[in-house]
Amino acid sequence: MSKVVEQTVDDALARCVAGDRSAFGEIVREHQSMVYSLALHFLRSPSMAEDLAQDVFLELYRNLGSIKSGEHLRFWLRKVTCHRSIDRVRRGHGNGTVSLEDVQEPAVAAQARDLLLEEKLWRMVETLPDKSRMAVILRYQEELELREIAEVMEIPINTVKSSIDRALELLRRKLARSLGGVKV
Amino acid sequence: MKPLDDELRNLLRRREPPEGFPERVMARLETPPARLTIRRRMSAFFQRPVLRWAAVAAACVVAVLGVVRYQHQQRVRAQAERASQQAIYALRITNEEIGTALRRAQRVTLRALEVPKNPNSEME
Repeated sequence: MSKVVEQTVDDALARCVAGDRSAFGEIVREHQSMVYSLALHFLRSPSMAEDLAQDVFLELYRNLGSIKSGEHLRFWLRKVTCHRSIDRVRRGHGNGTVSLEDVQEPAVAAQARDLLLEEKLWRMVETLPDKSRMAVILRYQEELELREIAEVMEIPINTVKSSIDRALELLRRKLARSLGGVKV
Repeated sequence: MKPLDDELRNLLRRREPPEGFPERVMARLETPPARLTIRRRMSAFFQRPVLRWAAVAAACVVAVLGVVRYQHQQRVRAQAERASQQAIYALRITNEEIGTALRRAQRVTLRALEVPKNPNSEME
């Protein structure tokens, strides 16, 4: 994150703690895509992801006093989103059920991307165990280092490393099989 | 085909939430949290994993206590049955002993009351 944005977040945080509600809106706008995407990639349901993201920001509002900096804020949001998402799936909500409102309109410009392959990859990512899936999401969505993932998920760094390695190996094998032996 | 890393990076790229997301969050901030009904509160309370395990443990303890209590009652009942049988047996023996003693006493009494046969004829 750039220094200017970092300063803006720090400033918004300070104003927010002082009781300025509009500053909280700025914080939400700044981090909404991170929180929403983490939840969306894990839960695979836009409506549930939005619901969870809202809950996370409301929880942030209640805990603003404990946030020390913009950096800490980002860490806190990632951590809470990860844990809430895993909790929600374990309680039997989300992942696998797509409501009618979640179905997107067919895109006219399907771009050059192979949508079929994307869908296949999604299904494969979905089959990963909860913690491995979250580690992969943090790695590729947020570009986090193994140490940072370990801190966010509150698990040992070796566990993070082995679960990501195992997940990638599994994805590689499944994808190669589904593509008829093409190496990926 | 791109390497898997690139595919995953593309697949898991950040996406924007639906339009008006910050406004909806702010609107929820303004709304006081709806009071949960007792039933929903209870259900939320018991949905906690720790409590679920505690409930399973409590059910196990109750089941074990039930079995132990049942076995204890069975033991007490068997003891009582044995004791009553012993008492009946003892009473039967006592009864027989008393009968024997009575018969013996009757014989002795009869013998004592027996009149000697014509004592004068002996004198003659």
